[in-house]
Amino acid sequence: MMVLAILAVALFSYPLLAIIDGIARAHGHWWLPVYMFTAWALIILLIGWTMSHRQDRA
Amino acid sequence: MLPVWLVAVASFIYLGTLFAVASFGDRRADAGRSVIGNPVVYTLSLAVYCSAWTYYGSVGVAATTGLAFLPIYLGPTLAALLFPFLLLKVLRITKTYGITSIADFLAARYGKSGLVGGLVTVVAAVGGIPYISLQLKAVAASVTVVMGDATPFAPAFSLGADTALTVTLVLAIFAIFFGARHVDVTETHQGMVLAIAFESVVKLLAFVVAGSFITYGIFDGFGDIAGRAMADERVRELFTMSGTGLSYIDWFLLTMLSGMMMLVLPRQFQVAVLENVDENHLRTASWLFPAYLLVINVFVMPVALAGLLLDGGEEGVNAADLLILRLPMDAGQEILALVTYLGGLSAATAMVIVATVALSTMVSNDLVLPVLLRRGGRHRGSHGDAGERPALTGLILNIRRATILVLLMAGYLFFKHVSGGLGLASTGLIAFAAVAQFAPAIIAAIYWRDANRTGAVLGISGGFLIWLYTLICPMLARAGAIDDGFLVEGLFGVGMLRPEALFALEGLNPVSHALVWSLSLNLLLLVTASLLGRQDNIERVQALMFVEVESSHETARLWHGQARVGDLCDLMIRFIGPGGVNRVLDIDGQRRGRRLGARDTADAEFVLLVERQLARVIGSSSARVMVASVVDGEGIGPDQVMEILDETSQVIEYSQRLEQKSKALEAATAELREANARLTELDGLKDEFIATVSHELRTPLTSIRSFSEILLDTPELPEEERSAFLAIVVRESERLTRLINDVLDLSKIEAGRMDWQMAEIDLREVIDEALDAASALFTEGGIAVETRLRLSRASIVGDRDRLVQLIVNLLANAVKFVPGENGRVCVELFDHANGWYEVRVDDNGPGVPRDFRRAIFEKFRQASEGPKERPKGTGLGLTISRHIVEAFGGRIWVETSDLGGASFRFTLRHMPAAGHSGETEPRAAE
Amino acid sequence: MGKRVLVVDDEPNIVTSLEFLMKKAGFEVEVARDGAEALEALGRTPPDLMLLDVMMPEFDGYEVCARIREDPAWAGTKIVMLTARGREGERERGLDLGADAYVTKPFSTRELVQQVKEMLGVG
Repeated sequence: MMVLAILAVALFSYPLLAIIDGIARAHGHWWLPVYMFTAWALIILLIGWTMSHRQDRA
Repeated sequence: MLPVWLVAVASFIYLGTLFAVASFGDRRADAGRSVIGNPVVYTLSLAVYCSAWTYYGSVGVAATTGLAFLPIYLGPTLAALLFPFLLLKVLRITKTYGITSIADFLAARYGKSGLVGGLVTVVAAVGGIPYISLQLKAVAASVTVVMGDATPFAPAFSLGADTALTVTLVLAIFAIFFGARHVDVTETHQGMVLAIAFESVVKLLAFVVAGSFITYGIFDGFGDIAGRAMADERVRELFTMSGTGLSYIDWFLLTMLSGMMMLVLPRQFQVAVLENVDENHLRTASWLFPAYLLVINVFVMPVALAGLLLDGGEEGVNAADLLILRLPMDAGQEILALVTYLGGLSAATAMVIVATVALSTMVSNDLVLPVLLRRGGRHRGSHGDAGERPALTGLILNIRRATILVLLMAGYLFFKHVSGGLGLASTGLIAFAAVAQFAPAIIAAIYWRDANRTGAVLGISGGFLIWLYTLICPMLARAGAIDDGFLVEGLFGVGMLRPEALFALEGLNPVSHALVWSLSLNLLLLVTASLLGRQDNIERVQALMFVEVESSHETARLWHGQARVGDLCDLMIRFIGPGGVNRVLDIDGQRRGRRLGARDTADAEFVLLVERQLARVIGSSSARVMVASVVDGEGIGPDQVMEILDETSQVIEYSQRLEQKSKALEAATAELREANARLTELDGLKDEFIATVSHELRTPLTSIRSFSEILLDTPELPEEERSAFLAIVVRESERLTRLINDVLDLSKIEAGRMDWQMAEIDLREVIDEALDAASALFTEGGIAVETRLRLSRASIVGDRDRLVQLIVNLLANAVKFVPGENGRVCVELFDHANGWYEVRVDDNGPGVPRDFRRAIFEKFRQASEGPKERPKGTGLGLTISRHIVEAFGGRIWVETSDLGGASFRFTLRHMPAAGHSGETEPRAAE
Repeated sequence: MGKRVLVVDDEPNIVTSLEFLMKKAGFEVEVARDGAEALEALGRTPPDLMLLDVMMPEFDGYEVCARIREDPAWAGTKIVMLTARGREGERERGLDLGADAYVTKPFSTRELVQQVKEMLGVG
């Protein structure tokens, strides 16, 4: 859970977004929103997976 | 363009449906078949987060500042990671202590403080006004759009006052009917939760349908929109970070702010915490809720871009806010527009319903009632007293209704006169920033035990004032309500105090700016005041109960004050008794090497020991308060003690009942143990008896078998030896027979199956017969027999044969013990007093040792006077004799005879017909 | 050959029969009527084997057995315990105390004689 929280914060931290932004500017601007939604979905999947994992453990 | 009647009818049908759903939920809850006991319904109810702001406002943000709408949803996603920790703890505290609102939560934590509750209520209500205003504005604007006014807000809010006011009043009436149906706030509003979940489905479907139509109907999918957007330099900028207009700090603060909202927003607290029926739902919600947010946001960018591409994006944020509705309208899809409108209506009504329920509960319970009832610091315990007074029900309902009306009217006035020019999202963020002031106090409430009331009050009010100054005042100034000179020059002309660039902090989004200052001041005040100040006792108890809600309260805490040992002991005596107090003093004495006296000053360790002892009886929190009442400098009012005692008396009563029960159990256990011991003993006796009988049987058998085999195997045996051996075999056989007879007799007698042949007999004759039977023994041993039968006739009722057996037994017994030479036996019969005969069989043997006189009548207990002398006999004779005497009501015992040996004596009752009367058995002279 | 057997029992008839049997088998026989007498006899000349009854007044066969086994001087004496008590565990107790054999009464005279002979390494 801790790892996931750090990962989630990192994925949406401004410096990383700025880097992605820079890349996106070079390769097509829509990449930034695509990245954001993809990362978002990834986090949701990871939370879901972690939660079901926790449930097993309990 | 849709006719007014259609919009109105559709709206009312929709609102009616909500009522139906809610009452269905309530009925199911009453029937005990709750429909909200489902993690999906719970998650959908959390989606009340997505109000008209999301529904209309996100598009507006996206159309002007691109991805800036996202932090509002990323924040909750990150916060969802904390659901199983933070929210779970809040949930447990709330359930454990019967909390009814976020104000109640903070008030309870900070010493059941009415001040805290009232302050939180005021802040939440004031902060809620902009939020409600944006819903009203959105609904009013959407009504205008579907009715065909293409420029609802242009140039400076030209919407007919009638429409907006109508919307406000309709929503107010709806909320009053919907939200204030029940009085008891400790009950969950199951119907409401179901309706909210239903609304979440409606708004999601409506938004997705409209978004899909715009993306795939008007345009040719995501790619098409993106491609066309890329072609436009200005629109393309919206894809980038710089397009958001947000700095790093803005981005971070907005994400954090919206994450906090999951907990501190009164309506989120309502659905996420108060209406939660099963804490396991948090698990599902922690991923399903972010997923809901994701889905409802997928079409935000495309719709915004589509609007810009079609309209040229000239109209500013107010127009962009309604793109999701306007695009279908412009495309002539009026039915779709109506559906979209209903989706927006559902988003707004959901927010209004929950927000007003939450706020009106807070206003009535935490603001108005405490004042009305003059209940001061003890306005509400965990018992929900407010709801328990029937006389107050009507009053409470009216307070709530009035609150709802006032809130909505305030919202109306706010958007009409203050925030008309602001986008929906900006208005919402202002509301966020207000309630964000609760966050430090809440986090501290559950994790920091030293956080105190002063800190919470100062923190929240300080932050709130900054919020007013940095966000609301500028708005009011711009709206012309107050002089706007201070915006540019700073308050009192001090440039450092410019509200939108406080202390020269510039370059931030206004909300971020307000957040930085308000939260910093808030935290600073909370921490400083908590570290410097002290908690009173109620507060300390509550703090402990909140922070330690999931564990036992056994925590070491040093007491600041001073107390005398005697006072503490007096306190303890009332709960654990003098014995308990002595034990405590002993324990303490052992540790410190010296027993404290009553006049000694108690140190912290001793106080803690006392507290723990008391905690075992009355629970830790009460113990803490009781001890505090004695420790100087830990002042506590008499009413507080009374309150605690009221609560603890129940606990004490309960523990007393428990104690009684455990005593009864102990007694039963002891009885059982005793019975078991008796059984074991009996079992052992039986075992011993069998072993002894076995031995007694095997011994003669051994001789018989041995000699028989010897005789068989030794034909050459001399005649003399042969007959000697045969004689042994015969004697042992007789012995065996006697033994078997005795054992059979005994077991018959003991089992009560002896067949007594009762008849009138003469005891003299019995004695004569016994002497005859035993004469061979006397002759054989050369024993002189004497008889002294002083009666001519002694009639009794008994079994002749058994009595003969009895006397023969006694004679045989005497024969065994008399010396080999000059053995003497004397039989005596005389009339005892009171209708009893007594028979004595005396001998001149060694006698029976005094200690042994009772035991010889027991089975196999033979008196042997020397190691070499083993009396012959079965060891059962005297036992059988005793049973026979007792069967006829007599008594048998042994004394020292005149001849120097043993004197066996027994008594038998005269035959009643003989005229003798005797009821009591004579006592033998000892 | 001079193997000596000590018969210890408080039941005279059994003593008589055992004495007869042992003599007939060719052993020298000494008799004791109880535990104390047995130890006394033992002190005089340790026998090669004793037939020891368990149930005796004063101190019983187990005690006698235990005392014999305490003294290494008597380690050469074999002990056959005789008992008329039929309880489980008695046998184990006797063997634990150092008895070499354990015979339950009533016994077969032939088998007893055979066993004694084997234990003494005779015939």
